Amino acid sequence: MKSGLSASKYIRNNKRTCFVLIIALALTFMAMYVVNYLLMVTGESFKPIYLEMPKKVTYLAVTAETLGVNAEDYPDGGYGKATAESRNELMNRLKQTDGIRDAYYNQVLNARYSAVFGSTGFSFPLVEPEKIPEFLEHFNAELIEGEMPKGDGEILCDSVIMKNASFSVGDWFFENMYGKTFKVVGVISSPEMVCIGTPNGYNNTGWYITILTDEAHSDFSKIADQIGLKLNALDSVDDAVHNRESFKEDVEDVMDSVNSVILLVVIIFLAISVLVAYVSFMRNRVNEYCLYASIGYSKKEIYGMIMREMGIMFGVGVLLGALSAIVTMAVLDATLIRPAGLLSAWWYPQHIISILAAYAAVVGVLQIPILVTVFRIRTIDLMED
Amino acid sequence: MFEIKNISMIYDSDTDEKMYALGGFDLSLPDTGLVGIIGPSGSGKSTLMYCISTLKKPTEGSVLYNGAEVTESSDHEREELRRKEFGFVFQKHYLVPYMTALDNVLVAATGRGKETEERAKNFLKKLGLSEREFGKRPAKLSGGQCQRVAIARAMINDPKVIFADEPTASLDHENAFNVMKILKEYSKDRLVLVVTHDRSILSDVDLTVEMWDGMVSKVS
Repeated sequence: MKSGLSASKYIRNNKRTCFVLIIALALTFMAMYVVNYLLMVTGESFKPIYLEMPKKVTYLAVTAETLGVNAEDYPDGGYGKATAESRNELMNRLKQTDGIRDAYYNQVLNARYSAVFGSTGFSFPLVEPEKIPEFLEHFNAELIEGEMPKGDGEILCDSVIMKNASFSVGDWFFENMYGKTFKVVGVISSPEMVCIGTPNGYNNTGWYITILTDEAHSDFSKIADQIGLKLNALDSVDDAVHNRESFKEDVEDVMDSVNSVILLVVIIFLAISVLVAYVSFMRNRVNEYCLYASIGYSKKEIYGMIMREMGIMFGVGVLLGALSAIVTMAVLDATLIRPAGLLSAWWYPQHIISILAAYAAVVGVLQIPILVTVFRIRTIDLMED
Repeated sequence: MFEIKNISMIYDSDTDEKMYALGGFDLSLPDTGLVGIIGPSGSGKSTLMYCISTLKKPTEGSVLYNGAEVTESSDHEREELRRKEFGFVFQKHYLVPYMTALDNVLVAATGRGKETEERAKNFLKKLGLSEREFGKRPAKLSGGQCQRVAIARAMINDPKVIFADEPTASLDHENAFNVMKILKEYSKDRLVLVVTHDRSILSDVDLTVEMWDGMVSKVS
């Protein structure tokens, strides 16, 4: 026998009551998804710096000990020269290694990049002007505005960093950090958001061996093994592996933790408010359920109707929430994210699963008032009361 | 159709202040016809109807429907009976407040589709509701109209038995007469049990069961 208990009739005829619940569910979904989106703007924006750029460049700073130079062997001077010679010899070995395009010893400069939550920095080399075309070619970067550096202290800056730091061509490059030492002379566009420039004296920002690699050779430990270089704890290796680990620890794990806490707090509040609303729903409809039982509907059919009604409201709520999240993300992208030189992504299936799981938990909590009500359904007896 | 044996209904049976709604009696009801159960308020007539219709379980005794014991049957079996073979008109109309008159009839229907809807409309028309009123909610209908919707709901599945508890209570004399006429017509090949305290509506009944203080005082 077909059940005549329609789940949609109550919703269609009680739009105002159901609308409140549907909107609450939709807004919660939207809020949780958009918060995740904003948190992940940080991750998405940092990805080129942490995950893409290090696939093509490794910065290496090794101690004299690693280079095989012992200061005690040069009591009368010559230690510096010996270190430089040994470093040059290392660079020559690196240049001859498969997957390494070039290696040079240079100062580096740091660029700052601020996301919605937090900021990061990355190094880029200061090299002689004639080295710059090779670097740009390596990163498939092209000059889109301004000119190539010719003199000292001239910087080519990626367009995204330009937006993020509100730079224009001719501005001082991070004046708060370096004073009036480096000037932006051109804007480049590259998938990895790179910068490059020429040195301007000694800036205390560190000297490194810059190694231009292909992606397959971006794990420096393998290269070190290949060329017989024994690294020690004092050596600094800034390669793809190191950056991947940093990204996971400093960005992904932090964002995941924050997301989990927000999700938990929001869901607790949602569960309480929906629970209160549903207790009221159930109480107002006890007579209706008793009527159904009186005319021959089973408790199972009545429970099924209640669950279908809930399913429709949650389904519509999720759908509306998803639509409003898309609209909100589009507006945020256009007004806040892109103009600030930040990157974003809209599709996080794992987070959708988390939200849906949280909603399922709320439905689970709602089983308490529903089952209590269904258990208490009598026929005409309760209606008479 | 119904064989009622030694039926009693005791409220607060666990306490010293037992209240006998039904005092233990036998009663036999035919397969067809209009049966009136009459008695003053508190005489146990509604309780008897609820016990016969499986809505309430008597404290003692048994109710046999077509030879089968229904008082001891499972919840599912009783639900099936109420759904397929019985129709109900309650003392208060108990319409679902957010549904239209038509939906209130259809909610009891075991079938679906256009045919069932047409059938529901025909019942409503027959009971004096205009098409304009089909789409109205109970709050927009008069008490009499609500009761007629409740009667249409009771008839929608063409049940073998209709239990009507004060079906004309909120109707004027003319409408009350019309409702009884419809119930009388229905009872030609079905059983209709009408519980009432209004003797005037029972002029056309085939059997009258008079109740007094939880007991059947007269069957005529």
